[in-house]
Amino acid sequence: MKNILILEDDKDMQGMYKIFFSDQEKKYTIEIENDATVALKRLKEKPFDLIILDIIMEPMFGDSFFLYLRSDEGTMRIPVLVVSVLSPDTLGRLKKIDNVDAVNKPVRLSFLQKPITKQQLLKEIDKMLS
Amino acid sequence: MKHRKTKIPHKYPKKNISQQHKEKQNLQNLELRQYRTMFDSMADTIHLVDTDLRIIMVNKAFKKWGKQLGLDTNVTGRKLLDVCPFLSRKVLDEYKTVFRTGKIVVTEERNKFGDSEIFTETRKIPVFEENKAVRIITIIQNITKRKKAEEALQKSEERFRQVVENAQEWIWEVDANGLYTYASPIGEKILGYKPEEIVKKKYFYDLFQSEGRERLKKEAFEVFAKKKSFREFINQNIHKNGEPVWLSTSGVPLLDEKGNLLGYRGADTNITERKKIEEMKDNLIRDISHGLKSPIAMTEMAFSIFQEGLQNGNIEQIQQAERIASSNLRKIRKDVNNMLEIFTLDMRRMIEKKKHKISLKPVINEIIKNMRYLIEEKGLKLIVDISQGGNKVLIGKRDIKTLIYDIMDNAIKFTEHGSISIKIRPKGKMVRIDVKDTGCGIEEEHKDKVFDKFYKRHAAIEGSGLGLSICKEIVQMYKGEIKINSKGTGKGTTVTVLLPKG
Repeated sequence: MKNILILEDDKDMQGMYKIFFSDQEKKYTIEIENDATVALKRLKEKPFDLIILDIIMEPMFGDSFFLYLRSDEGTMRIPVLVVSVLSPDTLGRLKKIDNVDAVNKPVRLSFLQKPITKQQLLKEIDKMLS
Repeated sequence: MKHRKTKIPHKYPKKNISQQHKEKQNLQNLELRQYRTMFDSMADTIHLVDTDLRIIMVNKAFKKWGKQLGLDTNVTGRKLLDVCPFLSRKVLDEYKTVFRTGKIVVTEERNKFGDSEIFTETRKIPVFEENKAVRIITIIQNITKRKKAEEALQKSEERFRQVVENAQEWIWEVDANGLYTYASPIGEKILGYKPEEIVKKKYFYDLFQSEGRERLKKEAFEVFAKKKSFREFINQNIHKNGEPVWLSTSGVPLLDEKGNLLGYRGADTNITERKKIEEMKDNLIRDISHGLKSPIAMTEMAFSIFQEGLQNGNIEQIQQAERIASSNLRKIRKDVNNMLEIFTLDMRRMIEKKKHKISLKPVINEIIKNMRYLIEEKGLKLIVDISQGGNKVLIGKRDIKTLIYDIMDNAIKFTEHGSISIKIRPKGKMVRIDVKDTGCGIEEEHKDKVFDKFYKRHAAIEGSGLGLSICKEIVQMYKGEIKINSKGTGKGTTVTVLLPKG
């Protein structure tokens, strides 16, 4: 059983995740947060195996959250799947942050551009956690 | 005039003429005959007087002129003042001066004869005998035409000056080196420099923004070298206060008679605002197309889970997909509408001057019907108080719908708990519409900004940031008022609109 933290502030998209994971109860437990500051707190309280991250959010943008994540020893190795309407190209800045400590590490940062399908999402998560 | 009345005999004294004197007079007569031939051939009025201002001779033009004025044309031997009693003291003094100094006196006169005004230029030319001025030839030229033309020119120059000074365009002249030789006063408004700070002090390229100055300067002098006129040369300048100013410059070369370049004359239009608006529109298009990405992606995703729901017979999933699709389609529609609205508002301002007496009640009821699910979705309470009278307003049909829809939509967007209320009351010659919410409110310092185009408190707030700016444009178009009130963050907002009663 893997724990996934989803950071997404759009209610519709939250609903979408619930549907995507509705038949994955045996594999994944999901927790959805819409506030990055709350999510950072949750990460201290409970270990997560993967974070699904949206970028355009209020009040903290996903990339600031990512920076916090990677600068904290406790969370810097958690794989992050960025699911955003922004293209991976425009999010290259995140890769730069990630590359700082990329030696000997498995894939920890991936991108999916919305719209996504359930299959795409589950396949990518599988790949990242394997 | 007393001294004028001293008695001077009417005829030349003949009793004591010596032989010598006679010969002299013969010579004089010959001279006079020569004068006459010459004088008669001239169009100007001419007369010849002696030191006593007695007329020795007049030409044909003088006689003709005298006739026209109703003067006695038999004038030879008579005194000038007798023939022309209208001559002023000043004129007589002028004759004295010519005799005394021997110098030509040129004067201009403005004479009124009945309704017509005649301008003349008079030359009093001394004729010498033994180094002494003894006679004066007076040539009177009618310069009325020239004068009228000069006056007209002066008037048109005055008009030109007024046009130049009141023009929105900055008129200038530069010499062949690009040094300003004229700058109209409007330049101060556009660039912050008074004409005297520019003329003979600045070259046109001195005002260019430093970045790209050399390139622009080179381009300009290439045009100079070809002596060509140019149109709408776009250049960025720096205002005296340091702000960038975009100018569109047009000019024509000034050439001398040999075709050498003297300089350029032209006009600059300030297009900074236009540039700003272009930039804003670019940003808007980028923002909106960006903003559209998300709801489009959501709609696509909703369709995929809808299909999956159909396959699995999962009613709940189908319903959720439907809900997500419809709410995102609404976001798309709103953004696209807003974009259209802003791009067509200028055009409609011209076209849609047609006002109607619109009953607010049915309009509001229809809007509420369409928005009810949005309000219910958020669990908000809707309070409608529109039954009180005075509810017809003078406005365009489409505009009133846009106006109320946008205000309501804004209220719903920023309210998470509590209620939205809409109220109508007559207020003098106006109708007052209040839309009140219990939402996030607005800080005092942001109150004025909410009506600005593209205003958003945060970049991530959905929508184009156009809603209230459109409302303001509409309200102004129909001579109404719109204002926003809030007791501060978290304390709700009231938008009040006043529209002329129908």
